[in-house]
Amino acid sequence: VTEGLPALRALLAAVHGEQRRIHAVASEVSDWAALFALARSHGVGAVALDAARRAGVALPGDVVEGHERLLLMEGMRQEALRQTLDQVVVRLAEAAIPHVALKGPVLAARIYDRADMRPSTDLDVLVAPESLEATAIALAPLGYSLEGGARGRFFRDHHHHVHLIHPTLPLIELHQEAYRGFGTALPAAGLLARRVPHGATWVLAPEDEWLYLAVHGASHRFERLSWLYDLELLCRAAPAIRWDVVAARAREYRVTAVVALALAFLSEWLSFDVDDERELPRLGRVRARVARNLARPRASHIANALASFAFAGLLCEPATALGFGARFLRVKLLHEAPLRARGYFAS
Amino acid sequence: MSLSSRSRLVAAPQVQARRFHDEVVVGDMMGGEYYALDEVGAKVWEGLLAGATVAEVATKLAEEYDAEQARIEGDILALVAELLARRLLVEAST
Repeated sequence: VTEGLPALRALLAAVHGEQRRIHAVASEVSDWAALFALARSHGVGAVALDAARRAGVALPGDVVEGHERLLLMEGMRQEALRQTLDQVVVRLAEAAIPHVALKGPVLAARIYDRADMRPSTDLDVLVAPESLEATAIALAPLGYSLEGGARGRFFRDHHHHVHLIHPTLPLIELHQEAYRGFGTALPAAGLLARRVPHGATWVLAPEDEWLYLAVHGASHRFERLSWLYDLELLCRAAPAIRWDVVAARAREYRVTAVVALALAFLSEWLSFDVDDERELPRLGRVRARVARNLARPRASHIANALASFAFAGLLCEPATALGFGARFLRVKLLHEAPLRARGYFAS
Repeated sequence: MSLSSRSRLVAAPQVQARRFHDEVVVGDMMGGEYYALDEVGAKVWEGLLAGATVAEVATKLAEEYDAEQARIEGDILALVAELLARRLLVEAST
């Protein structure tokens, strides 16, 4: 869904500015139902409505009511996720398993005005690779079990997370690495060593979190604006982020081009620039242009897969590009494609 | 346990519910399906979840709407049977 995207980006870019900027965007909107539908599909439905309301924009009542009803449903799902995470965190603490809550309700509660404003579909928890089995055992009393079968094996052998499934509770993506892709990985060890407490749970250190969210968003070509907006909100919520540290970690994890891309998209799409960019990598004009083109969503799964491959390859470092290409093709063609053909993945 | 006017019910574990104007929106978090209970249905849902029996909810609604208790109780039992079938409510253990 790309129609109305410039208006949605402009609206998000205006959220933290003067209200007249929101009015300027609103005056160009002829179909609020379509804009709110687009905003929901990008995970920023509540942000868009709040922004328009705060600026006193006259909105059609029936459209607002329908939008609010859908946001309410989304909020209920977020509440269910939060309640489940609370139980998970208690079990992990009892079992003395070091963990970090990635993204999800904990991030939402920290950087959004309300926790139910940022939609998630599942829970992401990072543990050390050697803690995977212990985590599954610790969560078994809640009714969770490791996903089995061909799909379970695929994730265990080729992915940075496995699935913990439950008959009635939300899916847990249990990460043994925060991310693996772009020919590199964000391993758990350093991230867990630097984690910081947040209530009863733990979150990544601010620099690690910004880096992780940038890598995660880029891995999905920032198809959802919420992934980019998260980066802006994290900057606003954690103004003490040390950008020299972000740059150093980006070099350490070999994701400098990913960070540069996230900064470029933040500036271009949301008109947001970080305070001190001196230390940070930049994306060349040609590379940025190609990345922007590849980031456009495609209609078919195959076209999207090819665009993802090219996009990720574009952001790989020269030293890792060959390994990335070989691994991508091996995993996608030899392992994922047969499972997809048998209907194990939503297309 | 069979459904009767003395039944007490609770929301199923995977269910979330919230007020939305006059309605209650009930969501099955696993199935991903959502249901809107109208004004009267909302009062039934909230009464049952507050711990009242079907008969107690019927009595309250009969007074409020000046209607025949037996008929209201029958309507509530039909609604509850549907909510049980959709696994949105479960009978409370006594």
